[in-house]
Amino acid sequence: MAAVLVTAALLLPLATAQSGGADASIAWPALGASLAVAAAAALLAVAVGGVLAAILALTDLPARGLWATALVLPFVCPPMVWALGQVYCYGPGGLLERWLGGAWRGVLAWSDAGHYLGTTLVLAQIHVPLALLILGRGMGRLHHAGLEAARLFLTPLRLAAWIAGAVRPEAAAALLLILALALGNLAVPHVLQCRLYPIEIYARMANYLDAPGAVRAALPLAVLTLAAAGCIGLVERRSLPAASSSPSSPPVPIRLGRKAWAVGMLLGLYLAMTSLLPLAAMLFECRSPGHFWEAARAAATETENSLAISLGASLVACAAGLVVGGWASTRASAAVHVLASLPLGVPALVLALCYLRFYNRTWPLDLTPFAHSAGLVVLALAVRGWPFATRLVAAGHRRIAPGWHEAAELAGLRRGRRWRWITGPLVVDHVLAGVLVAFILAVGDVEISQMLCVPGSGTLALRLFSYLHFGPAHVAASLAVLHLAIAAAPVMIYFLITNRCLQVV
Amino acid sequence: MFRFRHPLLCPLLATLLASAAGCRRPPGPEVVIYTSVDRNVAEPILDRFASQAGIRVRAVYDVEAAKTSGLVARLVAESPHPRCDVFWNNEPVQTLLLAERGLLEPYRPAAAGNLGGEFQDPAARWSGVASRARVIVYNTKFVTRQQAPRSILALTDPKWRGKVAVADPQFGTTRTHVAALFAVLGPDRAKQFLQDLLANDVRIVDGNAMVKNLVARADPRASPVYLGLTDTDDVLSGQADGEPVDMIYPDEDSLGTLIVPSTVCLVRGGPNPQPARQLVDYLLGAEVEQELVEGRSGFFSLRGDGPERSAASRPGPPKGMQVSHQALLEQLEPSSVWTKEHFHR
Repeated sequence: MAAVLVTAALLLPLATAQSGGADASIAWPALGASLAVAAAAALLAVAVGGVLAAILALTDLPARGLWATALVLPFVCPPMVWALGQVYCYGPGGLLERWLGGAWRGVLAWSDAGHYLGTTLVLAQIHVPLALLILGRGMGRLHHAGLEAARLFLTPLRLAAWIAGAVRPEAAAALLLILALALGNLAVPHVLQCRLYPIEIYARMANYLDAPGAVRAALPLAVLTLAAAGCIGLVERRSLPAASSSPSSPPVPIRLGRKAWAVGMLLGLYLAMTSLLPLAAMLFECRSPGHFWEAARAAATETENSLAISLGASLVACAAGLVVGGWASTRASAAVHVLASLPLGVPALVLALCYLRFYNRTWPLDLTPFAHSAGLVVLALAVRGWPFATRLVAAGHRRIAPGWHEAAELAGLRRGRRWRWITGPLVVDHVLAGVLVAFILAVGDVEISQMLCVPGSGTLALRLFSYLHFGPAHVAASLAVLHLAIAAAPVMIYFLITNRCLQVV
Repeated sequence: MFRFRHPLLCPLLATLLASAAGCRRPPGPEVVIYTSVDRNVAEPILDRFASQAGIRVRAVYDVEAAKTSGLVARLVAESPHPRCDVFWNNEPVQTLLLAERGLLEPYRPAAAGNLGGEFQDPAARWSGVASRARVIVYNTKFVTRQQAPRSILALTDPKWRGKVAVADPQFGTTRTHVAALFAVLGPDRAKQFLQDLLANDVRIVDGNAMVKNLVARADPRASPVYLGLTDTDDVLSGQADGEPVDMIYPDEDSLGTLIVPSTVCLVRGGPNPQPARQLVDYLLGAEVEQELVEGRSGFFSLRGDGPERSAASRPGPPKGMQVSHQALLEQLEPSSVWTKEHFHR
């Protein structure tokens, strides 16, 4: 009942959005292009993420936790900042072109504004960490003896195929999840000027003030996301092993020996190309540490607001995830699990609009005090993190063997104690991961904050994007670096405390 | 080992605290303003008003990603129970759309008396504050003032092939500019011009600031962009940062240069009507106009007797394009539909 109530409370504003806008048409070419770009990005992200996951989960490469944490950076960074970093670095007149000259323009042409390829690559980059985390988790579950046997008797190519087959459910889940996320991404096509479907929705709502038309236009994305969520549920239910009371030991890592250097170099090159160079380009734009501190000091209030709002949103998302996730992990409530994925398929601007319309009312209840408080922005940001929190908590619950609860019940333990001694310790990693993911999503948000933030209490992301327009450019770059630091700090702290990379599913 | 005594307690407390943080308000009068004027221009002006008038100002600024439209969408969504009192827009078109929807409260400030007729609404729903203009920006290292085109129509010249950038015409002042061209040139000629521009490999980028940045960073070895269409404030901010950019007022001897006034208006049903009127009066006052004209953005005064720029390097106001607000509104939809189809990638 609690799960149904929470689901209804979070999704009701979306259900009550007006329909029948002025422009009821669907821009099929843009939708088709979006689907193609998102599918290509998802495939690429899963392929690259799979290779990275295999290196980090199955080999004895030194400092794997540190590598994994560094490789998560693109997911931690707000997409618009990340896309801007790519433009500063690889775009026309960017850092690399200034270093290498025009002869390299052909090589870098993929990053030109408007190119589908550039958009695909940036979307893939952003989502590689997600694939890495999901597939890494799957590879960590590989059966010890099976992997040993495969290593002894199979050629490297066949071994790779065997591993890919063994983590097929995770790969399918990662593919569908990334497809859903990439489909609804507005920031990357907006910065790279690639006319994909989210831009169509955005223009309809913001330029033509046709909010009902925008909600209607968002329906195909929501349907595709729900379909993807349904598929994830099916794949996992059919393929993932049930929890056992005697879990197998983790696989013995493959010894790299002298190859560790070469693998480390390759990982370093990948990290440099995707993360460090764009970051360097952003740091280069900051001019000097003095300029950076000046910009950071001026943004102190917004930074505080961002931290408070994002922390609130991540905790609310996690609380809702705890309520719904436990139930969603059982067979009977797959529909709740699918519904909990709906916010991923609704563009943030449309979601904010729906929340504003729903809560800014005086009938049948006067909800305007809540609508005019920071609670609304916290709730709307929480709903964006809620699908991840729900999914993570559900995955944590799947680790609990039914026999443990039965034994505890027979021993006379009450529900609270069972939760405290069995469920809590087993889902704590997943809950923490849910808090982190929701925090990262909230701190990087612009669209929801702009629509719902309390006047006079803006966030750091809003300040950053205000300065992106008029500059000075070094202030915008300094704020982008500060923003990145704030978003990355919890992940780094998590790594330092637990000596583990973020665990997602 | 973590132990959850009350797993829902912390999140609930956090929500309450966050809500409380948003609700805490010092006593005294206040006014809520939404503004798409650049933050580093608007913020000092609003802070000074707050200290002079003793009225707390709670502002929401626009972001480049939303190009004014985000705030307008928010105003429309909030219209059943508005929380905003004053909207200070950096362009006129969205204000006209709000006026058409009946979301603005008529108010004729005394200071608006000497504004030209084209810079205030006959029904007193909005007034102009100061203006920018749409200009051709060029890189002074590689293009001399004599070489730079004097008309936007010259941007289709093959010698500038691949060397011109414009912002996405679906958004912001570029959208307004295209609508104005539809009104002034006629739809057929305007479409031909835009098609020629596309055929000349014009580079479409994310916003006017990006146009200026591309031009400022032009490098002959690296597919350079030497020219672009942007707003005066972008060029002047680039110059203030020491970037090698300058501007031409296009078509001064033919079509005229498009003037883009910023507009201020009262929101109908706003919660603080009296402080809101005080703020509108202040924004239309001589002190603010002087600051806007002298400041980094280099706005133009809308009054014949307004302040002149003291910096000799800054040019005076251009000869304005003759286009009525009605014509602009009429052409907005058809021009946007056309650009959406033809600038589609």
